[in-house]
Formats: sequence, structure tokens, C-alpha cells
Amino acid sequence: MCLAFPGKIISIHKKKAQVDFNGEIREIDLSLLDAKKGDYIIANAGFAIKKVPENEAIETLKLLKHEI
Amino acid sequence: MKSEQLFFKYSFPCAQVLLDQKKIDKKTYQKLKKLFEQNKTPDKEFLEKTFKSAFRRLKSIAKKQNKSYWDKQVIQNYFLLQHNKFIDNGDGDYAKAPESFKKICKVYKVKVLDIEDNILTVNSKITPKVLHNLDKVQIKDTVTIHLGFAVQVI
Repeated sequence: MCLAFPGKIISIHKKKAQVDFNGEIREIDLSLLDAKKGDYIIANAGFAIKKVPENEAIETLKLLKHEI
Repeated sequence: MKSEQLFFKYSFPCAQVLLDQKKIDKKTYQKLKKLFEQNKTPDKEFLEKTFKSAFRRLKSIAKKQNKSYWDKQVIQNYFLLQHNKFIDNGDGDYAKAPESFKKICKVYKVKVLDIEDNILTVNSKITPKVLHNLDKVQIKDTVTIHLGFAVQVI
């Protein structure tokens, strides 16, 4: 399944965010969109590419955990 | 453009997903990313080993058309037409995926509204800004986008 992993923004400093991807914290660039702490995003190659609704993010995380 | 280059331009954006799902390791991902950034292409064998589900679908399409799955037209049609249908039809558990996650995985044709370094502003509601490393792209061009990347000028 080619489903993107959503991450939750923990903190933001300028255009860089610390994002929690299923327990793994990664630094993500926010140049492509406006997002705030607590938002769920999909990232690609270090850039946040889309904000996703929290309920859909949680649902997808459940699906992916089941999958892996 | 060679067929493996065309395939790689469309499929590279999926490499992040494969890494997140542990279907490829970090070393493979880094190799792919480096090649992509340098505008280079892995060989066919490496691509087939890495993007297994894309090739599963490509092979079934090519077989029906009695063509090679490395035929450039087969690959182009796959990414421009059939790829989104596979998502809509719920192939490989897509059926269970929430709407915004399905939308971001699809390939779209969009117009370029603005260009700033490696970022394009495009007329897409799903990803209004995308990354690009296209050689020649101008405002008003039509480009295809996939998972936050501009892939090809059409």
C-alpha cells in the first residue's frame, strides 16, 4: 500500500518544524505551506507537502500500524 | 527521455512512502534521492526491485496491450491515466484509505502560476506549492504533479 505516513508538529522555529512520525522525530521544512503546532502533515523529502485533518491522520496511522 | 528516466521521475516521490513503511531501507532511499537530485536514473533492475507494486500494475497493463512493460508509452499512460484509477478502485487496500490521503497519491495536470527557486506555485487545491527540479519550466506551463513534486512539463 502506497499510503503516506502523517506526522504531528511538535514545535516550530521559523520555517522548520519538529515533527513526530510514529515516535520518530524529524525536522521538516514548512516553506510549502502554513501550519501550526499540533497540525498533522504529510512530508516528502524533508518538506511538508500537505496538511491533513486529525481524524484522517489517526485513521491512517491505525491502518499503517496494522499493515507494517 | 529514456523509459527508465520517465518511470523514475514519476515514482521517486513514492520513495519516501516506501521508506516510512520500511519497504526500502535508508541506504536505498538515500541512493534514490541523490540520483533524483542529480537528474540521474537508476538502472532498470534496481527500479523493478524498489517499486514493486508499480511494476505489478505496469506488467498487467502491458500484457493486455501485448507490449513490453518498459515501453515508454505504456509507462506514460500508466502514470497519466491508469495510476489514479487504481487508487480510486481501491487497489492494494487503497479502499480503506481516507480521502485526503488518496488524493495526495494521485497524479494531476496543473498550471504553473509562479516559480521561486525550487518551488512552483500551481493551480491545485491539494498541493498549491510543489517542489521541482525541472530543467525548463515557465509560468503558464502545464506540469504533472505527484506527492508534492512537479514531475514533467506536458
